[in-house]
Amino acid sequence: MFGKLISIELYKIFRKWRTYIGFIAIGVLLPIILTALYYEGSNYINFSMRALKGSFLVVGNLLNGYLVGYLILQALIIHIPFLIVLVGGDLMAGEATAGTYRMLAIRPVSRFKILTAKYLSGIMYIGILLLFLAFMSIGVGSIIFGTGELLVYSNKIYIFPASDVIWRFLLSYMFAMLSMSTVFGLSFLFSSIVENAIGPIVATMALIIIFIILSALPIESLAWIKPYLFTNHMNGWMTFFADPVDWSEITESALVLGAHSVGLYLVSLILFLKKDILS
Amino acid sequence: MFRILLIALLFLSNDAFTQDKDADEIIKKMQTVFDGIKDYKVDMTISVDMSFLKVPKSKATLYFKQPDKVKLDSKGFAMLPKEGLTFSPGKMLDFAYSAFYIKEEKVGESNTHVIKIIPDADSARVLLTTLWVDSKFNILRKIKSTTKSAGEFEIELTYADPANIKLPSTAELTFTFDQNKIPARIREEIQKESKDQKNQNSMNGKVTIRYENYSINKGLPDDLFKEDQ
Repeated sequence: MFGKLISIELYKIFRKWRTYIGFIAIGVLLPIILTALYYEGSNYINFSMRALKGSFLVVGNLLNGYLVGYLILQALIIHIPFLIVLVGGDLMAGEATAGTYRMLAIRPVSRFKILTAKYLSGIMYIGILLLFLAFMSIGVGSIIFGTGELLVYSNKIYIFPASDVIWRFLLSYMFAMLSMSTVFGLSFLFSSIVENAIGPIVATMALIIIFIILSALPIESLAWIKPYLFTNHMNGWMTFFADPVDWSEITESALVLGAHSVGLYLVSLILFLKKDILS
Repeated sequence: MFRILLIALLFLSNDAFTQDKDADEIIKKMQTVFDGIKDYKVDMTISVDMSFLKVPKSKATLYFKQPDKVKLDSKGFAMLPKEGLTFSPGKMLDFAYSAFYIKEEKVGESNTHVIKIIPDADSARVLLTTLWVDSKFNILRKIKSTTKSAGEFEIELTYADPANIKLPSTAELTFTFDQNKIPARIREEIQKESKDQKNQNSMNGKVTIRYENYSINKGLPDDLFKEDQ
């Protein structure tokens, strides 16, 4: 029964054209990035390795599918939230806009199940979108550029053996899933409050932008607030591309994001259970 | 009386005599030994230890052909210090210099001649080089050099079978790396981690290379070196 509810919600999600905006954006952007990297990628490698090339003879294919996957994840992950809120903001409010809220609520299915099915369908949408991103970046990148060692340019220059890369991507994408679930949870909460999808989409985007700016500002008087902003933990996936991996930092970020996701879902649930549906 | 004065003079000027007599001769002998190797191919296992760089242990094959053809080949990523890459004395001392015999010294179990090399011209890339040349096999055991561009480096070589194979089985290269060559963001991180390096302009690095499966004087074709000379 619950599975049926989820499949109905997924059907509703994928019937709306706005659901495909994220896929279209990734589908258009990635070929452009891949083409640019095909022609200019060696410049990036040379720039990253310039400190070493004066003293060392360097061989090997560092411009490969793993590097492409890493660069794309790094560049796009901060923009994926804007694609996710398009769906998250519409899930509940869309029913109100379409005038189907009351009809939905009078069916012999509890409000708890309705909301949970919508929430889980939204989470599945995120999973599918991220899988598409992984396929387009790592998959297509590996077909075009091959595989090999991964060059990561962060607090150090890391070169990970090819055999040491897949698990890092796997965990990074799982972490990204958690980050995006938090963003989705926020838009879902706003969506359950109002009756028009535009409001939750814009409000979530605005809040994320405010949080990101507050996280990035190097002002000491604002430093205390940073640990409480979930946006500050969203880049935790990058920690998997360090050696050694700082598991305590990842755990802390995962707990903060997980608590936000669960908290936002519970608040949405309480609001929906108590909601007086008049439309 | 005259004889006593002459003997005393000989003792006092012993160093000066050996300088004039031995240094160039020893380098020449070392060069002759190396010139006997027309070409070689060797498999290497390379370990790099630098504070701002994490690199996996890599495997590569080095090809060398006299006088200075070099090719580094690897299935994956590999990096190898340019200094002392081929152990060619001619390549290491490719500038006009004056050589001075200093003393005899033990490096590991081997007796060596210590020779200091000072470039004759200011334009040389090297400021000062010290060589430890095995007195029995005329092979390089150790080299310490201060260069203008790459800072200081020291290479210690060990040989598995110096009587038959005049090329090393291991090389341990320690060097200083100019911090200014490292991107600022990484430099700051490294300085945070290592307070003792905070006020220094350079940081240390170490590369250990294990050489296996030498194939010497098998007649490597010139075509092999076309790309990576």
